Amino acid sequence: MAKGRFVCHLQTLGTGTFVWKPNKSTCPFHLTFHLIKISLDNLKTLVYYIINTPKHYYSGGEKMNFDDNLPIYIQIMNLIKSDIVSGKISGGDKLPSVRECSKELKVNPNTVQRTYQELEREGLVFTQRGMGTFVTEDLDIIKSLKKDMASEIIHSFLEEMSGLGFSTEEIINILSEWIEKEGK
Amino acid sequence: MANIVETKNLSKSYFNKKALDNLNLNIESGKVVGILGPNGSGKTTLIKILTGLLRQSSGEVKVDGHDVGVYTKSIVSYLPDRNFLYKWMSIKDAEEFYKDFYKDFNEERFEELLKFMKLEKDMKIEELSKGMHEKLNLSLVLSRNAKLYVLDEPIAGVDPVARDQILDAIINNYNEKSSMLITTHLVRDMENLFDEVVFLKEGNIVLKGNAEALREERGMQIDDIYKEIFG
Repeated sequence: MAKGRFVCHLQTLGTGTFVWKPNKSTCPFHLTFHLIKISLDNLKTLVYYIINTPKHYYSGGEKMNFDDNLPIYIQIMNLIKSDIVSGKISGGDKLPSVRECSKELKVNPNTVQRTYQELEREGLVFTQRGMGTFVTEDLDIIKSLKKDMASEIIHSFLEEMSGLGFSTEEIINILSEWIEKEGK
Repeated sequence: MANIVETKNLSKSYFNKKALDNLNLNIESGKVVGILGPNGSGKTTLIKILTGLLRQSSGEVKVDGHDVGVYTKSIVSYLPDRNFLYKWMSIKDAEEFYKDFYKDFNEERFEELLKFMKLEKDMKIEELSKGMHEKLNLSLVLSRNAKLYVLDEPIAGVDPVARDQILDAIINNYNEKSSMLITTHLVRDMENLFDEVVFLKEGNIVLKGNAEALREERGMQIDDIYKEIFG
């Protein structure tokens, strides 16, 4: 399946769950949505409404499936970034050692090494000699990472939705309806 | 960094059939290298030459700077693609067998690996399932302090759980001072282990490179590249 496209054709999907993989390397989420079928009065058009909250595809400790068309080190970076943003790892926390992490994910230690190096280059983590690798305590960096990732998701969401032929107004309606439902 | 393996114009023919055709391959030490190719592409022939089981028809091979011989055999730990232990042996006998043959055999590590693989020393080779065989063989091979580990199809014919255990054992026992050469056609399961990959086709290298660089460059996983080349 191509990156950044809906995994299933909405028309053929029926009611249920599907996984949406947004495009772009910086977006770490695989989103799971639940859909319901609603027919719009006389138009005979089926519209699928997204009614559930996005959910993490991955949570630490499971074997990871590296099925994106991205280098493994970027996929692990995204994983760690999403853990930082979601608060699963907080500022100042120690990351697992390269070896632990490579065991956990079943990847070459050199790949994990590269991941940590790149994260360090981006200022998200720092290494203390003999101690390990730690997440930055600089809240501004974490905040801006969060912002970047959010805009990435929103951007690809909007792109996908307009690709499906939704107007801006419709999208807003769907979203507000969704949020309303969630709020209850 | 020095090369652990160097081959120059390496060829091997079986009568009319060319198994390796002027192969030039350098492998840096400290790397995990995957040798990928369909059946009959020359993977096992290459490995048998590196381990001294076959001699090349022409060309040069150096392992750790030496011609293949007594020295290279002492630093290369080889996992063949078929069973190499006698049926009458127990796991304990197999351990003794290895200890007799190889000075660098590390008993402690072997005990650990057996525990990890959930194997008992009094088990008979005869009674082992295919997956257990593979686990035992790998435990023996990884228990040596070798400079180069050569694993020929380490996960072929093994169930997914045992496969994970084998991958874990390989990752746990890999260290930067040694190198690993792994052949497989189960690319999807093993590709995350490789630093470098070499694609072999009809005795020739069709593609070689850093695994991550290839993923980046082509926007696909190694498994997909494999399918593109051989599919």
